[in-house]
Order: sequence, then C-alpha cells, then structure tokens
Amino acid sequence: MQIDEAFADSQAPNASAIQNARGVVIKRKLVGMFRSADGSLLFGECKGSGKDNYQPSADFADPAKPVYRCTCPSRQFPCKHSLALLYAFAQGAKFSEKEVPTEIGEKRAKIQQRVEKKKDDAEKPHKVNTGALKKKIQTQLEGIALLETLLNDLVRAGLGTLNAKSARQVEEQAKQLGNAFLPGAQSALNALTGLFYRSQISSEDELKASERERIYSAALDQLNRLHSLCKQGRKYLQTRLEDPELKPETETDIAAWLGHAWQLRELKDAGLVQTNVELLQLAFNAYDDWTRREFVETGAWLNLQTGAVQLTRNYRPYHAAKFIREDDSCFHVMICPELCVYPGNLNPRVRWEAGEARPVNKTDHLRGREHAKTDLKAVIKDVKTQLKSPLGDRHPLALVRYRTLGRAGDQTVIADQNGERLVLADDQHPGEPATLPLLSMLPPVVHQEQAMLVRFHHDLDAQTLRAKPLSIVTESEVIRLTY
Amino acid sequence: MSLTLIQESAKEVRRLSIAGSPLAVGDFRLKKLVAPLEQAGAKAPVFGQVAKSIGELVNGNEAESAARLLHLSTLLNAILYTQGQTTAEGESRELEIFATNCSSTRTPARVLKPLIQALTTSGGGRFEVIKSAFERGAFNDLRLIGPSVQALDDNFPELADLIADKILPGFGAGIIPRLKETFDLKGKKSDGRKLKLMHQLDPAGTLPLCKTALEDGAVDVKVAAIECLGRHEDCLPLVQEQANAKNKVVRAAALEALAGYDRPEIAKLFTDLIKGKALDILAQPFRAIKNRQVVQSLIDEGQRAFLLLQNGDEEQIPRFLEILDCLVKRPEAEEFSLGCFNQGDKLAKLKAPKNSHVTGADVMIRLASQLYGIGSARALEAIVAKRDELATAGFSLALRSALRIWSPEKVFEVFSPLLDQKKGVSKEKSEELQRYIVGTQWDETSRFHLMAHLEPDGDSEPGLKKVVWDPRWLDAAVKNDHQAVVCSLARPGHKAALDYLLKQDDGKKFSDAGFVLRALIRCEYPKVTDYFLKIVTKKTKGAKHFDYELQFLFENARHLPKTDLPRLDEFASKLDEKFVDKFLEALAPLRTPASA
Repeated sequence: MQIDEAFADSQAPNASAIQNARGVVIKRKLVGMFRSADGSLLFGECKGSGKDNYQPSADFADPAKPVYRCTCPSRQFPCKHSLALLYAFAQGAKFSEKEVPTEIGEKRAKIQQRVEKKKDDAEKPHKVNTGALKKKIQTQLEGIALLETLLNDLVRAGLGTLNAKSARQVEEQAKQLGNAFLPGAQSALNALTGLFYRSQISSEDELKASERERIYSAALDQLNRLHSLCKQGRKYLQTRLEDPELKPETETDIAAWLGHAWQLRELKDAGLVQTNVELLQLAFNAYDDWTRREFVETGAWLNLQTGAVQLTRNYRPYHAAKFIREDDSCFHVMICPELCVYPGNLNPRVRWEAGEARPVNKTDHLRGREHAKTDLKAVIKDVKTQLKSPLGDRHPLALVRYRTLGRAGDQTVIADQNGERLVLADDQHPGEPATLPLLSMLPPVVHQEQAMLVRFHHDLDAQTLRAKPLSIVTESEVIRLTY
Repeated sequence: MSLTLIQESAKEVRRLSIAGSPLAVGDFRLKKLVAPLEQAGAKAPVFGQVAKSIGELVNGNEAESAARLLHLSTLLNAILYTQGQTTAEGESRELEIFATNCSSTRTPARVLKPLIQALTTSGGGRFEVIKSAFERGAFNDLRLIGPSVQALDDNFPELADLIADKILPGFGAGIIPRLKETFDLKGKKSDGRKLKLMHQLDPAGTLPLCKTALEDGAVDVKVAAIECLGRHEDCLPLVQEQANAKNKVVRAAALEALAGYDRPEIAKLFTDLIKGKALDILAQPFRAIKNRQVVQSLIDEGQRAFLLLQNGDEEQIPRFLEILDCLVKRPEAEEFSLGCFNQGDKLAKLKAPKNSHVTGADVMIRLASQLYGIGSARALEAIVAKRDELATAGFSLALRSALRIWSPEKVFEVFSPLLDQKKGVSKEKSEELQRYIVGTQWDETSRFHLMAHLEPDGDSEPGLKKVVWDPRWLDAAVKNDHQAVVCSLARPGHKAALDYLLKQDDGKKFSDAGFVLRALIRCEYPKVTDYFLKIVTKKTKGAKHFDYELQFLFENARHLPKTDLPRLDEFASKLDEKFVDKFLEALAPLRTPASA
C-alpha cells in the first residue's frame, strides 16, 4: 500500500479536514506513532482537547477498504487525527514497530465476522414484508395522484401565472410527495418550480419578464417529464402492487425516478455487477443543487473494459454535508473488484464498495482512445433516441474519436473520418466553467485525431443539439477542460 | 419530415401552456393545423398521431384540457428532440492557436473550485485566497485563464491589479484574444487594465488598438492608451495632442507620458504650462522631467510666488505649494528651497488664505520636509537651526536632521531635557521624541510589533534604523518612567533598567508584557524563561480569547534560550487547551537547528 500525501488528501472528507490534519502534524500533537509488523496498521496517540490522548489508527488489512478509527468524538470520518497519521507517515516520520493493540485486533475480527455474515446473508433469500410493501406502494400511488393534480392545476392556470411566491407554495405542497415515499418525484417538481425564482436565499428573487420568456420551454419540458413520470410511475406501481414480490425494474430507471434508493445488494441480485473493472476518470464536477437541497459531485469515468462512459454521483444533503466525504477529481485508475451499475440510459450511474487506485500509464490512454466512438452519426442517433424518451437523461455523455477539430462558418466543430460534423458549444451546466475558449489555447496536437469526451444538450427554442467538450484524451494524457 | 408543421404546433402548445390549458379548447390556431397534419400523416404516421392529439384537445372539454395539452406537448417534444441540428455549414478552417505559457490541467477540483469562485464572485477574503494561491504557484493551470480575465473587472481594485500585474502576464500573449473579447472601448478602469495588459504582452500588435482607444475610448481607456503610446517614440505627437485635452485626467496622463522625453517641443509645452493655472496636474510628470530649462522655469516661477508671499500675499500659498510639489526630490531646487526656508520669517507668520486651512507655518514645515528629502549637510543644518521656530509637526524633521549630522552626545545634550517635560508644546515634543526612539529600536526579528502604530511616518531611510543613542538616554528614561523607551534601549548590565523592567508586572494593568519580555531577553536576564512562564500563567488565567497581548507575548517565545525547551514543553501540557496550539506554534522556531 503506497501512502503518499496525495493518497492522504484523497481520504479526507473535505478541504478543511486536510488543513486541520496537517496542523495536527505541524503542532506535534502526535505523541506516539507505531506500525504493525506487517505494515497493515498505522496507529498512535494524539493530544487533543480531551483529558486523555486520542488513539487514532489507519487499518489497511483490506487495502481496498481502509478503516480509520479514533477515540475522539468527531463525526467526520476519517477524523483529523487519523488523517494526521497518514500525513506523518507520508512525510517520513518515524513509526516504531509495535504489536497490534488488542482492541484493534478484536475490531478486525468483528469486521471479518461481519464480512462472513454478509456473505451468508447474501446467499439467503431476501424476505420481503409484503404487507408493509403493499401499504407503501398504495401510499406512493396516492402520491402520484397528488402530483397529477398539482400538474393539472399548474397547466390549467398556465405557466404565466407561476411566480416566485406561487412556485414556493407548490414546493410546500410537494413536500407531501416526500412523505409519500416519492422523493424522486418531489425533486423533479422542485426542478420545475426552481426555474421560477433566483435562489432560495435571495430576497429579490422574482424573475424579469425577459428571463421568464427564456425558461418557458424548459419549464414545459419539465412538465412533460413529470406528466410521463405520473403515467409510467402509476403503471409500474400498479404492477408491483399486484405482485409485491416483483423486483424493482432494471430495464428502465423508473424506480430511481420515483426515488428508489438502490441497495448494492439489490443491484447484485439483479445481476447488475461487473467484476474486475478498471475506471479512468475523464471529467468531474461539483455543484450546489439547491432544488434538491444537496451538494452533488459527479465523476465521468471511462470503463476501460467495456468502453462505457459511466457516472459516479455523490449526494451530500445540506444538513449532513460536513459528515459525508466530498468527492474530488481523481487522477488515478480505480480498480474495482465489483462494480455495481444502476439501471439507466447511455451513461448509467455506478458505485463500488471497495476499490484501489493505481497510477495512470500510457496504455490506459491508448485503451481509452480505442473505446472512443468513431462514427458521429451513430453517436448522435443514440443520443437522440435517449433524448426523445421523456424520462431520459437530457445531458448524455459520449467519448468520440474525431479526425479534426476546427471551425466551420462561425462555429467550432469536430469532424469524424466520414466528414460528419458536430458543433461544439458551451451550456449552462451548474458549477461548471465554459470550455470552448480553452480549445484555442491547447497545443496544436489536439486539433487532429484525438478522442473527446462531450456532453450533449438540446436547445428546444433553437432546435439545435450541441456538444460541450469536457476533456480530450491524447496518447499521453487526459486534458481536463472542466475539473 | 416536414418539420414546419411540428414546430408550428409546438409553438402553439407553448403559448397555450403559458396562457392556461382551458384556452386550448376550441383554439382556432391549433384547429387550423389539424388538416395539414392529417394530410402529412398519410406519409409519416407520427403526423397523424399529432393531428389526433390536437383534435382531442381542441374538441374536448376544459376539465381534461390539462392532461391532453401535456400529452400533446410530450409527443411534440419527443419528435423535436430527434430533429436537433448538430452540424454546421461552411468550409472547414483550422482552429486559431493562441499559445500560452501553460498547458497543465491537473489541479484537483478541491483546489481549483475555490480559486475560481474567489476570482469570479464578490465578497471579502478573496484577495488572500488568490494571493496565497499565486505565491504557491497554483495558477499554472489553463482553466484559470478565463476566470482570471473575468477578475480584471473586479470591484476590489487591489485584486484586479494583482491579476493584471502579476498573474495574467504569466500566461503569455496567447490570452490576448480572451482579453479582446471583453474589452470595451467605452468601458471603465478594468478596460484600461486590459489594454495595458495587451500592450505589455504584445506592444507592436496592440498599437493600432491603442490608437483607436485614444481616438474613441472612454476616459479610463484613453488614459491607459496614452500610457501605452507614450512608450513608443514615434507615437509621441499623438500623445502630445492630448496634453491640451479638456479632461484634466487625460491631460495629466499625457504629460506624465511625455515627461520622460527631453525634446524641445516637450520642454516648451511644460514651460508654457508652468505659467498657467493647472499646476496641480504637473506634480507627477515633473518627477520624471529631464530638461533643465523647464526645471529652471519652475524655480523662477517659485521665486516669483515666494516674493509675493514675503510681501504678505497669503493667496499665493496654494500656488507656492503646488510648485513645491513639482520640485519634490529635485536636487536642482536645493538652493531655491534653502533660500525660501532661511528667509521664511515673514512667511511663517502668514494666515491661511480663503477656502484653505494651510498657513505660512505649514508652508515652512513643507519646505523643511523638502530639504530633508534632499538631505545635504547644509539643508539638514538649516532645519536643525530652526528647530525652536518650527511648529510641533516639524519637530520630528529637526530631530531626524540632528541625528544625521550631530554626534550622539550632542543630540542627547540638546534633546534630552524634553523627556521630563509634562505640559504644552514641550510635552508634545517629548512624546514625539519617545515615539521616535521606540521606532528606531524596533527589533525586526519579532514578526509582531505591538508598537508599530508608534513608528514615525515615512521613515524609510535605512540610515535611521542604525541610529546610535547616547547611553545616557536609558538613565533618563528610567528616571522619567518612560516604559517604552526603557524597553527599547535596555541593555545587558544596566541594573537600574533591569530592576525597572522587573517591577513592571506589579501593577494590576500590565499590557506591554511582550515588549518587556523582549527587553529582558535583550538584557540577557538569566531567569527570563521563569518570567515568561509566570506572565503567561497570569495572562491566560481566566482569559477567554487569544488576544493581541498574548499573541505578542508568544511571538517573543522564539527568542528564549533553546536549552529551556523541555520546560516550555512541560508547561504546554498544563496550559489551557485554547492556547496550546498557539503556544506550540510559537515554540516551533526553537526546535529548528538554525534558531538561537
């Protein structure tokens, strides 16, 4: 296990934890630093505000799933004391060899027991409390009926009557959807109402007439999505009500739309697991989704085995944001023994329980480029197929191989080997900078025969489908244009 | 597929969704579309579906209109999503290349995002974020170019200047097109910054733009253009034209740009201006002027004004001050300034003119300041000679002049009687004297300087930092109970001073602990660590915050004997948790091999 400062940074829950942990090292608060004979455990004692010293440790018994423990009362994991151990180790501090403390030995044994129990449980058939499930589905169906009423009221009154105040009133009503086990539907409705005011904390949040004019098409599109959600959701729930033993649907992402939080076990049961996968991150973005009241970190990864562009999403609700690890850009290849893939469209969400990072090498870039789609026409067709589905992701990503990157008229375009062009343009994705101006500043080598990760966006008013460049994969590097 | 019909239908649906779905029932515009859609449906069934859906909506009832409108809208959008234009017409051209000095894009989001936020938003604390990032080299990332260009428009001028002067030039000439994109000829100061930056990165290439800015630009942009054009000798005629501009700021900028050139036409321009009224704008350009004749003209004008002042015309005071402003740090003006200063008895008595508060006595101080700036022996002697006649505000100049030309003994004999003065003007002079002693003795090895606010203004001459004070000053300070002076001058082996310092913590209010500690360290007091620990114990007992006093006290811990480190560490374990971090940080320099 290679523990360097970059690794320690990657384990920190947020930027301030890094700063605090480094502070612990500088202030010489680590009063004892030890390592086990096999090097799988770092532990020590650290001065803190309590009467007794804290006892942080970093356990690499399973290198893919390091465990950090500490006797301090912090709710952040790892806490600054455990992180400080990593920084001290990375900075070359002397760790004397010592036997693994009994308490840690016991905890390791308990983990082992849990792993085995988990294995046993996995083999046992999962029991479903059908009575409770039926009741839940019934409540969800009532929620769907409520959503439908809300939508019909909105459309009857007309979007022209919706303003900041009434949008917030609709949101208040939408809280009932959350109570009806439909958090996904609630978020989708908030995404509609959120278009009609500036932000949740602004006092002057009413939109100007010109601004309202620009959002109507997007609002109508969101209404359509909600309308389809009602229709498809009701059908799905009714089928499940008739047969509660039925597993959540994996062909479409309707379950997620309704707010189903997929358990890794469910994904495994549904066969949505890929083994021994290597992932190369091509792009990353973090933004504040105030309509969901969550911070969202999204990573776009290239599956080096299948060539699919898959997404990781880390949701950190405002109220718990401090205690959930904040994702960051990853410049390593992640090796995942088991990769769970969510049901979805072109770019399904993925998750892994245990993963190990290794440095990126030239072969990875070459493998990545080989996976890039060479036929733009086919890519665009797939994208349009996804877009025409009302519940399809409106911003699909694709890694495409281009022959040239240049200009046509006053547009920036890429062209494939057949001469098919795709116009590149920036979009209004939250929390992300414009990338088009960067293209002219890149070395000339990127202007020909490279692979580009793009994100599509359809402008309903202009009737154009454009792609925003997110990164370029050359033979030697991934040039990130966002984060 | 004939998209026009679908687009037309979508337009109507959009209109009705804004206005309200009940209006769709019987809507004649939608009705009109049914027949052509049905006709098209014969070839492509999807048109038939749209026609059917419209029919159901317009012929249905209001109660069901919402669901039907949404159904129709969903259908239309699904079709439109398949029809998005992805391509562009026109001949293929190569992408322009704007090579920059950096191509890295490997900064992680956790570092990059806060930096971009600091560059592109408003609010406090951003300057430090950006400055420290620049100092640690974090700006070596292509993705920071755009946000940095945006930050040139920042409302906080220091931030915008840092970006323009230090950060953006590092990216190279490749950023010029980015700067041009947002450059506005009719803009504000930020556009002036952009123009100067473009000129700095590509002087020849930006010349035409500078010329246009000179012609059509707003004032701030014009001023920047003048500064740029002033660096090209062949563009001087253009700049010279602006020397007669109506706008005073533009005129001043032109004169400043021209001042560096010693040419007959420029000399004539300045000579003519000296006779005019707008002398205030000449001060800055005059500091760069090289032509002797011009300087002489100004001195002649000064003589003329001085004669009028001597004759009691106080209305000449503002003009005379403007002339002095233009002659700052001009050795050629020594004779003139000295003459005025020495013959200034009548001038010193003049009252302030109308609409001004500057009196003749203030002008004398100004002359003294000018002479002090020139710094020749006879200039300094002239100031010292008038030490009793100058107003209190000029006392510091007399003291500083004396320190530069007299021996320490003579300075002590002449000035030390002031230390026991307790009343009136003499008390003010005594306080000024004490402030000065403290300022010159400040030990720069201490980062935090509690007495910084007492440091004499404008004291940048390195010579004054090396002032040698007569040893008798310390005795006089102890005798007159001037704590700050004793702390500043305390030296090893001076028992009276040591006793005096050790008594300082007796009083209930003892706020200069750090200053006394530093003096004890300088005195090589053997029990200084005990003293330090005693004071820290006293100060931290019941203290709620880490205040400035404690900060200064801790700052001085770095000067304690290194051999006492184990005791200090032991003390840290007993110290209140609130202060432990700061205490350990303060001891850190003692742990490094290089520290004493």
